[in-house]
Amino acid sequence: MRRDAALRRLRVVNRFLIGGAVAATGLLTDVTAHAFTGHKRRVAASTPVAAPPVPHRTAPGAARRHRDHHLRHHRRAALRPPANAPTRATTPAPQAATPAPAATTPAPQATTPAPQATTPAPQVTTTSAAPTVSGGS
Amino acid sequence: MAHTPAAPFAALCAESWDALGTTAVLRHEGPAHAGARMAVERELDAIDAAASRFRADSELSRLNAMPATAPRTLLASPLFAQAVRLAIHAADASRGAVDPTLAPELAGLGYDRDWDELIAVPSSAPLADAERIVVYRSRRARWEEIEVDDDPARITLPAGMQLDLGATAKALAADRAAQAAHEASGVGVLVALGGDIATSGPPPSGGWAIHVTDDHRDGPDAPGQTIAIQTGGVATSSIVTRRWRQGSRAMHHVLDPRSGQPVWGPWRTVSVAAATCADANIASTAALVLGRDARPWLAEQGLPARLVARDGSAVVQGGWPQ
Repeated sequence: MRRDAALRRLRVVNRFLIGGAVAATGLLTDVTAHAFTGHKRRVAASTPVAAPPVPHRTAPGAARRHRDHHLRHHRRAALRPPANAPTRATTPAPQAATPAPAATTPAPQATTPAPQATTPAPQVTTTSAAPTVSGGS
Repeated sequence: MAHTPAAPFAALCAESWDALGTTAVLRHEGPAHAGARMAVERELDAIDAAASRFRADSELSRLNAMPATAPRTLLASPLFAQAVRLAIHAADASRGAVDPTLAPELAGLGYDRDWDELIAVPSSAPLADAERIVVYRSRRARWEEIEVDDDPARITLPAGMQLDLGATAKALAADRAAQAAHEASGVGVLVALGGDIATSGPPPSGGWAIHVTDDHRDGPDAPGQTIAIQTGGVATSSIVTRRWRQGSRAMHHVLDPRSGQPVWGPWRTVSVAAATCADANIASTAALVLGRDARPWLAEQGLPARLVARDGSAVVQGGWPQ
């Protein structure tokens, strides 16, 4: 009888030990996973969606591979504000110094879509304090 | 309202010529600099050869001409890859408002040839001429499916897609040209391509003076506002310019991706300042498309902007001067 009672106690202790070991394993796994963040594997090395709009030059011979496949990305690109906001200006604008508009300057390639690579385009050169115009084009 | 005293703008050299279907302007202090001019022309020629929709030999035309029944890939120059990547950036940052996949819609509206071959509508013509009922349709944004690879540079389009980089390529050209001209000359330069203005290097005394208005061809005396910037870029987009007639209807080049039709929103002209001309151009174009949502979106981006309503009244925000 004493032997049977001892065996029952041993069985209970074993169950606690096994349960505790399983719980401890799970807990340790969770702690480890949070302690060391991993990296998602990508099918191809990807650049962020917000690739710089300013010119970027690849170093010669650089073994770099980019792939912009945007189904794989979720980060919304942002536009970059200027370093300084524009300031108010009121300056007289001499009409004579305005760069000649395209409408009044005969374009030699008007009927030829090919660019001005071989034919120098007519130009107007002036010196003035007139502002440069930014308008619809 | 506080008035800032007039800035004593420096007299600058200004060279202008026709390029990319608009007027190119190069400005800097001192006498004309041949190296700077050549650097600008090289960049403009390069972007034209890469991204023009009206040159059969451009990379863009060759890509669009490939059979579209299946995905197709074009080995591309680094510049063309950069232009396509910028177009994707524009679509992403603008929530799809600036969509590079509208080439078929633009061609369907008659803008399938060089601008000089279209029946132009003058910018002074009333905007009501272009007003009409817009039928919105369910159009899936497909720009996310464009793939850009480097080393070697190549562009892959899904079946049925054609690109139009007109919204962003000119601004990219302005940024690149300004940087190249500055590197060639060693002085601060400003490059303007119609509404797209980029600067590089130190500004002249008083900053770069810029007059924003509906149509860049109207000159600095046209109704608008003159501002000064120290760095970065300014872009102006408008629905009163680059209009053409198709049948009895007047069209313009800013399309709403939701409808595939010319935008008809509350704004007729939007000017934006940003760190680069490309970002400014993306924002000004997107604002026209976003309509009533433009102001909160611009505020979210932190961009100074001036928006002109269809009746001519202007509002400014984000640090743009009154």
